[in-house]
Amino acid sequence: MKDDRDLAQLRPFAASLRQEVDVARLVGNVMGRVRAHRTVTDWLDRWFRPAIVTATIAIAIGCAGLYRQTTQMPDLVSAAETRILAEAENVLP
Amino acid sequence: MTLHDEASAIEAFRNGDLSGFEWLATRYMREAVSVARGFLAVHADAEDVAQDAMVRAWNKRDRFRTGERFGPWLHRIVANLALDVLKHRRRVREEEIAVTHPASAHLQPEAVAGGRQKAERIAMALEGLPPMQRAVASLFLVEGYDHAEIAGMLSLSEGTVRSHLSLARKRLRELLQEFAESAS
Repeated sequence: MKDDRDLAQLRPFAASLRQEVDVARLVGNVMGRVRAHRTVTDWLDRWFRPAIVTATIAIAIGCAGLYRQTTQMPDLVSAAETRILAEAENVLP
Repeated sequence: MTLHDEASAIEAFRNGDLSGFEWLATRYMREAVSVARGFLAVHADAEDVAQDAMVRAWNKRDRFRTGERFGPWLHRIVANLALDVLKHRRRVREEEIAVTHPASAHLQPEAVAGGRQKAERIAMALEGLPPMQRAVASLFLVEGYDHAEIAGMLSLSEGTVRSHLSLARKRLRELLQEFAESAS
């Protein structure tokens, strides 16, 4: 096509705009970033996530225990009241 | 694991093997920089985008479909990242042009005086094109790729590549006339 032939005339001059690419350096940078990210994600998978899960379970158990205690407190209080009243009846003339 | 060809490298890459990824990165880094350079004025920015695209390709390897070619998939990532950079930098494009021109900073030393001026004019003319036209024209003129290669790199049809070059040619018309006159 005429269009491309015309444009192709510019190629010898435009080629001087081309820059060398240091492939080894760039690939080295990329591999360094990928390996560092993998180290972090491996650490997270091995230690952090299990720790979070364990902590979550422990907190849930603790909350369940607290809940049981608070819901049982009225029963404990009324049982204590009953005992005190019974002892008071025995003591009082 | 010893990798002999792209197919085994891709298989290793999909399985999360870094040696496969390194093989592919080495094979396609130059092209990735070329594609980014088509969109971006500064070579260092193109290198940054190419590297970011490689890292993103690794992180998104689970989206790489079986049977797909790695090159075009990577080039789409590069192009999208480069366009994102352009969107954020639109307001400072005038500064980029001022920094890169006179373009002697990124011309090869062997460019002769007359050729240097022409190369600078071409660089300035390319800068004035819309992003996709600039990418296609730059890959054609500067990097020397043909229509089919450019179509594969930018996930375009060859017809679309020719259309972009035709539009770029209209904008480069003045330059072409001047060069034609000086050659005659």
